[in-house]
Amino acid sequence: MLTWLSPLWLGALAALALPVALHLLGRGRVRRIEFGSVRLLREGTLSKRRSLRFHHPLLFAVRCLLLVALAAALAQPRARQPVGARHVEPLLLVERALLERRGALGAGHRELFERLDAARRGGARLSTLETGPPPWDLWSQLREADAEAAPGRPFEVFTLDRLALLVGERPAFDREVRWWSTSETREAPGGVPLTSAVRLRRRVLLAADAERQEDAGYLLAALAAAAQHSGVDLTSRRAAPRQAMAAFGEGADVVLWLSALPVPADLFAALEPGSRLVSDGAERWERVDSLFRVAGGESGVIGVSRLEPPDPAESERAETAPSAVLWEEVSGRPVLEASRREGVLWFRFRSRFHPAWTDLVGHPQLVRWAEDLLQGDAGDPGGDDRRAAGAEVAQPGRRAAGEGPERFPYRWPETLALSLVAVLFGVERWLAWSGAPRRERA
Amino acid sequence: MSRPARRLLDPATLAGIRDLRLVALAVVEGFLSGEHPARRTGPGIEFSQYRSYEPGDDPRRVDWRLYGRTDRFFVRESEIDSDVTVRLLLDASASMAQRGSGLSKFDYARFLAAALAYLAHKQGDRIAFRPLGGESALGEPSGGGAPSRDLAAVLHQLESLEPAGRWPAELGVEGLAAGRRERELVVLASDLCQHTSEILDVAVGLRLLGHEVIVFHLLSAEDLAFPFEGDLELVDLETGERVRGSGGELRAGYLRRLTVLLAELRRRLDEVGAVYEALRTDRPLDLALRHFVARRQRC
Repeated sequence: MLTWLSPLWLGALAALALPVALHLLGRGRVRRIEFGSVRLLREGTLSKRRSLRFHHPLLFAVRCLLLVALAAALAQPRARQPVGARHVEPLLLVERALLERRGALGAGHRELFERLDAARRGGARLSTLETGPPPWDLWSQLREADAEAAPGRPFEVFTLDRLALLVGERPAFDREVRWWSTSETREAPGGVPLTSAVRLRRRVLLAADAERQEDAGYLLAALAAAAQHSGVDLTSRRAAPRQAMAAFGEGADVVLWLSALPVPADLFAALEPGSRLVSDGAERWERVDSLFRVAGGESGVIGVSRLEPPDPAESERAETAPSAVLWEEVSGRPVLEASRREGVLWFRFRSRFHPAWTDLVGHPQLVRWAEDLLQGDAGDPGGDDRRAAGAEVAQPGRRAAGEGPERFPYRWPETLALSLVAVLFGVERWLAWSGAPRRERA
Repeated sequence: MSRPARRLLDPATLAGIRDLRLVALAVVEGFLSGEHPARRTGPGIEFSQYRSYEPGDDPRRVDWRLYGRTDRFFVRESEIDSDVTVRLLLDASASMAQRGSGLSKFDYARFLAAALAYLAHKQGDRIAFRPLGGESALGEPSGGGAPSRDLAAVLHQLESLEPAGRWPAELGVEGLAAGRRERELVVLASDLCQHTSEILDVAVGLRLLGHEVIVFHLLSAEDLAFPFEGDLELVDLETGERVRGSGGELRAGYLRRLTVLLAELRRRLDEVGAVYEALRTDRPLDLALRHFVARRQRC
């Protein structure tokens, strides 16, 4: 079945009148001459006469066809693939950030990644979805994919739990759409996974030494960007390390401890299970310049001046449960570790959040890590995602007449018409050249 | 030749003269002015003129009566009829009707034949005229083109003739001229548009019978240059056949074949000792007359 996206161009077929008129006028221009020595012409021009008889109508036909093909190409013909030829393997639409953060997400979303891997092994094509600043324009990306994909081909959408960022009415698709998300999901009829209706809120307590105020500024900026990106309501307070406990008061979900002092035991005890604690390296430790690479990251290696405890006894590692190394430098020593202690997830950064110490500051990777920190899923399988998707995105909207995905997605008729234009143009030039007057062969 | 005389030979001038006799007169007198003598004179019956006696003249030719009246010696001269027959063969097939920028080939040939007939008559020659092809209100020439000294009959025949049809098929040489015993000056004026070599064969055959043969090949300026441009449809005047093509496309091949044809015609006629001369129908007639006079003097 064929349709035209720009049918007005078919009106250009009226241009056919041009070669027809030229042809008719050209025919009328033949001059009739009575001549005695026609014999001298006839003998040598028999083949040419045949050529002329054949040539002019052919050239005329080719020129007409060229115009028809050109008009057809400009009218953008589209075709719908026959039902029997529909694809059955799904198209995987995967959020790019999900792929980049696969290592950090750990085993908590094993089912999601197993499904993704199995589909890819089965030959399913993968298309990435870009995540930008909120509001997340997922719908237009899905509409675009829907327009280009074969009718009936199922979609499987893999995203981080950013569905709260979605705005606008969810479009309806004439295909099965299955959703996979890292969020705590409950499957809604028709697809989009929803979390609770409560918007995620995070309270941050920052305790920084006076000489680390600049470090604190960079870290808070990264957290603010991450919060905006992932739709988290963020509130932060600052306090000197020695007054940290006093400032803790109402509690905090994330504590940033940027100080040479050790984390006070009472502060640690006050933290609720599921809270996060971030600490940096002590300056009296040994400084080693190195590089590290973030698994799944896209920006290559990041320079770092790592702080190494000179005495392992001094390391706080002994006090904690076995930690997971999230980032490690090229020689294998940890740059960022995470360990769980009394329900609190403690991140130890073996350097400082300062440009003089690491290129991580100002690097997108810091924002991504901050986002994980706020979401609670970095190294925290089964975290407490409480973000919400708006109710309007849960169910597909009603499609108005004439809207919706392109019903004739196949462009091969247009490609065919364009190819035909090219071929006919070549033939026309060749015929015109070969029919042009030229010197006879001796 | 003086300029006014040459102008009289110009086809463009001749085209304005309706009377064929006047055309012939203009051409021949213009041609003869200052170049050639008129009719031969000598002893004979038909008086022509008196002239003063000169040493060496036969005393029997002195007119003694005139001497008695004038007391001077005059010699009586008469016009002498020659025994030469000039046979004019005119191609009157339809292709001769081709009209270029000036005269048609047939008109040119008609003027040429009239001029030659006049010139021959002026020299006392017998004239035989025979159109080949064509239509005449007078029908076939009386006597089948037998020689006579009746110039008026020839001119009248010429005036009534129009080009038509094709060169007569199965035309035998024997019927066109006298046999081997009489030698004639045969002038053939034709465009030589022949389908095989029928016209050329006639000329060669006449020459082989011992006659002096002059073949005037009439060619228009368009024949020689093929100046046509654009899309053309060329129609054969005799067969009606058509050839289509563009002028530039047809020209090179046509001119090449024409050059070969002209060389071949000249070679064939030179081989048998006939005179071949290509005449452009936009050029004066004096060239044709010069060839005629030169060949006439050999008879």
